Amino acid sequence: MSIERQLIEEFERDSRKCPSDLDTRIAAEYKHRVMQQRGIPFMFRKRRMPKVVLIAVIFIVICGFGYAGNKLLFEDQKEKLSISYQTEQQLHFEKGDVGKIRSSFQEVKAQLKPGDTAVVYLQDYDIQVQGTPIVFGINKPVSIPLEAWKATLQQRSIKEKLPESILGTYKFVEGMETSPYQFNYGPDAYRLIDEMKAESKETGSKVLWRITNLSEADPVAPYTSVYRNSANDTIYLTWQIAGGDTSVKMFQAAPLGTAYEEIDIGGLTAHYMKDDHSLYGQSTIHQDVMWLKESGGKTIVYHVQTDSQNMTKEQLVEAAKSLL
Amino acid sequence: MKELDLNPWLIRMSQGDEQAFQVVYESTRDHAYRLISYLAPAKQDIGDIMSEVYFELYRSLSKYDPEQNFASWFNGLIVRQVRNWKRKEWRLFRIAEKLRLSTSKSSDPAAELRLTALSDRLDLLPILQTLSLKFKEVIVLRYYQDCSLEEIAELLKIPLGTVKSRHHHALKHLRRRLDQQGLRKEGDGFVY
Repeated sequence: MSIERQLIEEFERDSRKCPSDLDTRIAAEYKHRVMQQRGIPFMFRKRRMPKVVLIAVIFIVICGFGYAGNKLLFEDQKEKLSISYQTEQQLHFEKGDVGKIRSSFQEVKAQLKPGDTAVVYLQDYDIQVQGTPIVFGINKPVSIPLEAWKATLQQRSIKEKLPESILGTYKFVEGMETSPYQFNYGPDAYRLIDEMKAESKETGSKVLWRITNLSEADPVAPYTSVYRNSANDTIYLTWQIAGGDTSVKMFQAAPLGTAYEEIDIGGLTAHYMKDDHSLYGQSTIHQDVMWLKESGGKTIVYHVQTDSQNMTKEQLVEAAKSLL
Repeated sequence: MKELDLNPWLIRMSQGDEQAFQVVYESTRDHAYRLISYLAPAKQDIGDIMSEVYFELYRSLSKYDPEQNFASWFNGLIVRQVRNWKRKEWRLFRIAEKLRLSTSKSSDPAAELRLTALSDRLDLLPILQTLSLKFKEVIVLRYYQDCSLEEIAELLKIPLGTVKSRHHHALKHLRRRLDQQGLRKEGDGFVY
């Protein structure tokens, strides 16, 4: 027998397997090192970071895999946070789909208590992006009246500019410790989706939902101050604040067809986006002027956004400039 | 490795998902263990190197292209971690040697560590451990992973000529050792 043949046969015969006591050690060391790297205490079971951040239309995080057929809209970063927006061709809904999904969301929202966030499984829109399921959801923010909101921000040491009005006619009305567009799910999101998927297969239910557990600390916490005019048009001033020891990397998928423009506001690079098939907000239009800012050792993503069908891009940009 | 589309799990694993790590780990652990045990300088290093491999897997996932073959990419990652470990061990060995030389001559030299044969039926695999790492890599990838020499060159990022040369010398060394031990089965093999 040739030595090559002998080598092949010996490798085939060799039955060594990883001993089970090594499994426990590897898993424990892995968890510890991952948590150390992410800068949060080692209590992996109890304090898992939420992995996905809902933004704009769709709730998804894509890690930095390159893939063809999609377009990078922009990347931006500061010390504690980097952000990358890409369009995703799977996130393309026709008008009819948008209407159906929005309607499902409203039905679920009606059943939520204020402060709840639900993960929603839609059988007709069981989509994966690069193998990761898209997790739909809806929240029902707690509206905090003006003075209580100012007190809340003070308690959280948030010192960002908070005018009484924007563009003269939009009055500051309330706040919320979330955002209609940028809200987070708990670490149980994927598990809940898997459960609902199985249930849907069994029962044929087209829309299922579960409350997601947000009890754990979020690496990027959203705060929204709401401004409204007499015609009931709304501007949402949202701050996503990354202030922990962890550096956060956000990869966001935007629907195909999202309009994008890099703009300059008072010497600052900002990003304008418009989606006219939005699943959230009071209308299907969502415009957003966003930029990153360092403030008091934290990195803040500013969003000046609206669901108003009447507001122009120029007006929104003007609103953004007034906050600098 | 188990036949399973790992891509979705790799994505989730890169995001810190514990369940995804478990799935990826269970799918790959036996293969990783075997490959490391064939290449590792010493049996007691296997656990440490396994730990390095999975943490490096987590850190490297942002650079992983899902279009490429995971098994091949993972093999490259394992080989690199074993090499890194060996370099670290050599630095420690040299420090130990320096300390030994500077102290009493009656101290024992650093022991030569080898994996022991797992079975009496395995004649060649124990002798494999007498090869240096750069030769072992070629033999293990060729005959355990059935990689072509071209694939090995790409994985190890060395010229094909170098792979062929190492393959030739490794087989020659193994034949010689087998002959010395009277364990050669029959005939001569051929070298690519």
